[in-house]
Amino acid sequence: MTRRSRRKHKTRSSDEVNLNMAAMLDMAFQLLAFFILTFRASPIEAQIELRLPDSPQATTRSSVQMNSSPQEMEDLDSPLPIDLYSLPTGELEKIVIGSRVMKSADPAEVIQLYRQEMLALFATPTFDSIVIRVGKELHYEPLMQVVDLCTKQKTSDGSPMTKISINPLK
Amino acid sequence: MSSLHSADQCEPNLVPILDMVFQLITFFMLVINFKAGDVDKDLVLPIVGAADPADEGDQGDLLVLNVRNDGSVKVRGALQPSIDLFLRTESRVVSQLRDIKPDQPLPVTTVLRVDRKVAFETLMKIVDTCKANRFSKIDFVVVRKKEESAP
Repeated sequence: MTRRSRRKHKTRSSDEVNLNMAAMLDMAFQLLAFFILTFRASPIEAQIELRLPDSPQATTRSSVQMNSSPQEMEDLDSPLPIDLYSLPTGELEKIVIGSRVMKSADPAEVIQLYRQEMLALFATPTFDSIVIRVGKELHYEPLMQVVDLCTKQKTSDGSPMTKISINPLK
Repeated sequence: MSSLHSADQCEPNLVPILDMVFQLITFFMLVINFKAGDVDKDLVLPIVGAADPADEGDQGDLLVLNVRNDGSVKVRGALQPSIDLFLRTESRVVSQLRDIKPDQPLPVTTVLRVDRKVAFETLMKIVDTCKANRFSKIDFVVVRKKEESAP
C-alpha cells in the first residue's frame, strides 16, 4: 500500500506541465514593439459644421452656409456684415465690420482687433445672422479663426448664432 | 558538488514582466486609431479657439478629403487627379448601395481637412463640387487650442 502510493505520487509530479514563459514573453515584446513604433499621438481635432441648402435643417450645432455667388443681405434677418480682405500672398490684410476697419501689418493683430470688436458688438446682441464676405486669395486659417468666433456668439433672443453665411467678396 | 550546483541555478519569475507587457499591449491596442489611413499627416491644419470637438457618434458614414496647400486632394491615401470625377463615382456608388433617389442628399458627412494655406477660392471650388454631387453635409476640421478667455 505504501509502495503503491509512493509510485502514484512520483507519476503525478512528473506529469506537471511547465509553461515556457520565454516564448510568450518574446511574442508579447514583439507586439509591444509594433504598437510603440506605430503609435503617433495626434493633436486634438475639432470640427466646424457646414450646412449646404439641400441638407436637413435640424441641427443644434452652429452651422455655416457657403455660397459661391455673393448673397444679398436682404435675404437674412438683422445681418452683421464682416468683410475679410487679403493680401496677394493670402494673408489677412484687414477686416471691415460695418463702418469699422481693423487693419494692421501683423495678421495676428488684425484677428485680435476683430476679437475685441466682436466682444463689444455682441455685449448686447442685436444681430440674428452674420454674412462673411471673403477675398478669394485669403488663406483658410484666418477664415476659420473668424468663423470660429462667429459661431460662439448669441443672437438677439439669446440663442446660439447658427446663421452664418460665407460668400466671396465682390 | 553537482547537486549543489543545480540548487544554485536561479530561474527568474517571468510572470510579473509578462503581466506588465500585456498591460502595455492592451493600452496601445485601445489607443490605436485605424481611421488614421484616411488622414494625411502632412497637412498643417489651422489652429482656432475652441470649435466643437470632433463628433464620432452620430455622423454616419464619413468621407475624409485632405486638401493640400497646392490644391490637390488626397482621399484614402491616394491623390485624386480629378476630385469631380471621384465624387461623382462615390455619389453613384452610395446612391446605388443605399437606394437613394437622385434628388435626395447623401447620408454621408464629408470631412474636409484643409491645409491652413489653401486659398478661399480653392476651398469654394471643392465645396461646390461636393454640393453638385449631393454631399451636402460638410465638416471642417481644425486643431483646437485651449481657450484663454471666452469672448
